[in-house]
Amino acid sequence: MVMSFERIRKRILDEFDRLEKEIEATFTSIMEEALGILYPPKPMWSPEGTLEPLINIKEYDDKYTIIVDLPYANLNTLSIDAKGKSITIKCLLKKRIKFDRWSTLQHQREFYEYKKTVVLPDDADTLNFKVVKRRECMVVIEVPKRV
Amino acid sequence: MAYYYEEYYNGLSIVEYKTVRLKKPAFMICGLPDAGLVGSIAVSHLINELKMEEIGGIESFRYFPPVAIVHKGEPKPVLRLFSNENILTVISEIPIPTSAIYPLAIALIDYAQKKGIDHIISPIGVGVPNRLEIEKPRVYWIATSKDGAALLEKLNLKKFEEGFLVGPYAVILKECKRKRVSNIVLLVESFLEFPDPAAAAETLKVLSNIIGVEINVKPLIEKAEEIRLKTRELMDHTRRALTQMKKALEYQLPLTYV
Repeated sequence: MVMSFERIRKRILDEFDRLEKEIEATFTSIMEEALGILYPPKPMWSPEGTLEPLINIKEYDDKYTIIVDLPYANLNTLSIDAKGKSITIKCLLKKRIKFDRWSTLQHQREFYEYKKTVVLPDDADTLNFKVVKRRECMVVIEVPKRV
Repeated sequence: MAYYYEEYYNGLSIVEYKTVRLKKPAFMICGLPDAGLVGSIAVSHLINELKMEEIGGIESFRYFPPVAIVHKGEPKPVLRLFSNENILTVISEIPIPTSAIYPLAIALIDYAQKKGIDHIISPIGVGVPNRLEIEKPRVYWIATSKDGAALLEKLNLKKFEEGFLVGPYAVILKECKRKRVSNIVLLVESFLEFPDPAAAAETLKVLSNIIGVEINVKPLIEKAEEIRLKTRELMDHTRRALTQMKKALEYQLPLTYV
């Protein structure tokens, strides 16, 4: 059967499209692998019983805000220490939590505290931080910028 | 589990451990890691609540990292399929790599068509910067078919009119539209970078009305803190994957409608 010019053109274009997607996918996976080597992942927990909380840092004109997610934490034990450009957040859990099958080797693990140190840019006035909101074990820390 | 059936889709393979025949109307619900892990948390809860049976999985030597999930001493695929009478769920243990999004979306839609699925449902979290101030997250919807829209219009929810969607659900939506498959997208206001079981619970309430099955979200709310604690690492990995997908585009207004 003779294929019309339009159909041949469409097939060629489709093939180009497929090749382009394949090249892009290969390139992305190479980049993902390269980034993985540069920044090897580390666990968000330690065998000593500390957990690393999730945080989100946002920059505004006059301040930085750090939102810290501390599920199951006792916020009465929250301690925030500023030193240089760093802010260290610590908070005990409501009670020690024991997991019977934690992580790949399914060991029994017990956790008692959240701990995280955040390094902010040079213009952060870390000594004047304030805690502005606490809800559902979420803490918002505001750090003003130096004028 | 022995493979009963295996089908290849451009670098992906879908396996089934047993014959799957769904009653009508049939729904496929996707639980892929995205903003606030809303879909993942919602589908995980659904699987437990409805005591769904694991019936298969999706693997890819081309697109997925070399990962095996071991459960009760048995290796499982990273994407797992569960079903009960008329519901098929897809849940992923890892964030979907950017390179896998297109082939996975196409494979899922094709598989859904072969299984006679009437509606593919995508529960999505949409990161809102003021989530901390929101007590009850609102749910919006998009539907690619008249039947899907009819189901949602009854529920008195707001339609998602303008904006960007980024990630696996965006591709599923576009491909469903192109292939004339019904895709119901439920978008709930959520945290972008923190697991959000409360947002997942709101989505499940709407989902319950759509599929006509009662879903008790009380255990999900009660276990919210435990879920947030246990899903920190998946959320952290998902956050990195979302950055790569340019998820921040969702905060932008489409230029065409400015």
